[in-house]
Amino acid sequence: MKATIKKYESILSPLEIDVLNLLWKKKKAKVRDIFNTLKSNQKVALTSVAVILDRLHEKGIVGREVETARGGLRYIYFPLKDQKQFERSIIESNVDKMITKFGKTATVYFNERFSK
Amino acid sequence: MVSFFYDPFKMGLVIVSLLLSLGLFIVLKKYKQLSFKKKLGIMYAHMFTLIFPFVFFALFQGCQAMFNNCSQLGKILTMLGITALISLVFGVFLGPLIYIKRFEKKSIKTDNAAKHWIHNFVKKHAIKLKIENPQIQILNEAKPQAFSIKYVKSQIFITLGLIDLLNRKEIEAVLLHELGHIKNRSSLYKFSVNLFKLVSPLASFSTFHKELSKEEHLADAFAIHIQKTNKNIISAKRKMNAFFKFSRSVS
Repeated sequence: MKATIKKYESILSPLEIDVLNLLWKKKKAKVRDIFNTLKSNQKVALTSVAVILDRLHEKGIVGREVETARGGLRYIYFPLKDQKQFERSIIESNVDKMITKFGKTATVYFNERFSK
Repeated sequence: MVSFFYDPFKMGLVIVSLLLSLGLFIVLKKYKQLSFKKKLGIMYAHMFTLIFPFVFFALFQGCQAMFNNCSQLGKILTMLGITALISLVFGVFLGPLIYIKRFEKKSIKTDNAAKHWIHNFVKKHAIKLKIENPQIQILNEAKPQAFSIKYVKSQIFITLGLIDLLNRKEIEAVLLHELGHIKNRSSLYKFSVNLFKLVSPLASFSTFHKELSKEEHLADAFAIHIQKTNKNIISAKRKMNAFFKFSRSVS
């Protein structure tokens, strides 16, 4: 878990990483499912989990659908990318940023680096 | 355009309208004990007399193309009628309709069975209160919010985020709070105050926020009275506030 936190900490907050890790494990989950699992390991509020899931949804990292159950309606959250696809998209966006910022210097550098 | 400003009759009409608007605002601010209906009437009259000069001026420019001689009293009165009609259509019909449609777009289309307990709960209490059974709209929105509107029919809007976050007793407290608003007709008052804030530059000098907070207390008191405890409404509000507070802190 700690290695994952270090990897993503520049992109996501620690709680966002915890929530995303759980979603990767569970595939699909309700707000309360995530909260119940997290609260056994750390001090966290249900409202914080709801905010984090909404933020991850706004960032396009997780999706959500409305589930109609016997007890009524609820949101079901799920990851839009698996861990590998997510990591790939981070690398892609960082490489794109480098190329936009440094142009030819960056492309020459990447060519030299990867031709070794 | 110049002829409009140099015409004493037309300019007189504009000045009288603006003075009337100011006078109505002073009445609204000074006489706080006025009845609900009177307050609403004065509020809308204030907005009408404030908007009128602008609509009148804009329409009058068009009127010159429509009539040969616009300065005649009869034709000016025609313009007054048209202005009143346009203001009425926008202020009383289209305004609230656009406001409601904006939320209805986000409403989750589902059969009533999916929201059966909410329906049954609201229906049961609407009968007890002898008010029209409000329509329930569940909004596809994660932010926990609830509000009610009474325009042609009563509607209670609650977000799916609110259902996810609150327990059943807390949701019931929020629904009772909204039923309290419908019974007290405060949704119309809240809509009118929001419209007033949008239209009138004098809104910042008004004390409507105090009255709105009084309406909120009355709706809370209603929920507490029915549930015989303040525990649920307090914890519901605490959760909703915690959501927005945490949301602000991480953004």
